[in-house]
Amino acid sequence: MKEVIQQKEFRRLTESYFAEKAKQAKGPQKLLVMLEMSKYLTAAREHGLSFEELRKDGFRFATV
Amino acid sequence: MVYLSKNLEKMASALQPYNYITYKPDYYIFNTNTGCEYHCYFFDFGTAFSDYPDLASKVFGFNLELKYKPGNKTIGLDKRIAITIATIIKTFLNEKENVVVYICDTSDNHEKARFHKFTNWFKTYNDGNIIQLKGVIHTGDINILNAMLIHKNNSQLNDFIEAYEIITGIYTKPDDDELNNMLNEPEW
Repeated sequence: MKEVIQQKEFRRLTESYFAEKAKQAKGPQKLLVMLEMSKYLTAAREHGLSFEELRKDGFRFATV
Repeated sequence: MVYLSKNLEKMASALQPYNYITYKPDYYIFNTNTGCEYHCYFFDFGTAFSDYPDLASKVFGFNLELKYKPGNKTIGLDKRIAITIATIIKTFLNEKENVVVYICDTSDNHEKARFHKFTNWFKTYNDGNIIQLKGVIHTGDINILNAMLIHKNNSQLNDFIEAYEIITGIYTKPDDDELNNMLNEPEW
């Protein structure tokens, strides 16, 4: 029997997608949107997106 | 004597953060003694604070990613990773402008352990300058643990604390009418 390996589909999103979602959310739900964004960024990096590409998608990072 | 000196050197280095490289303006990289490579970064978290325009641009989330792990090596407890992360975050907060909000992912059921580990690093390696506020978001059957880290001398300390408490549902701010009614009550 052939083993079927299912790869999780990755959909490229922009920061404005999360901003709009957070705008609709109320109170603590806003933090859940941010958790989703945090997970998205990790997934995006695993799928090979560079910080430059993420910045083009509207995400902002900071260092000191 | 040489043995003692080598042992002391080893002990001293065990308490030091790993050297890290900053790739401005995006992320940090460090490598551990076991050959692991970690990337970490602060990302804009402002949309969660969109009701507070003065604060929003200064709120950041924090992600830590294990980018490379040598195939056959077992990675034991490495305190220097915690010291390095705490150093990177403390340096970030020492600017006294930004705050860091940390939310625990619940998808692998290890959120309690992860949250305890993260918040404990701050108990252990905090020099007294960082304030840590903890919160829980109750959603259905799931409790989502989160924390905000802020420098005690942050010029907007009180504003950040109030905003965080309102967003996480710890505190509900009365609107102006409600407040006026309360203040005009005879018992006040």
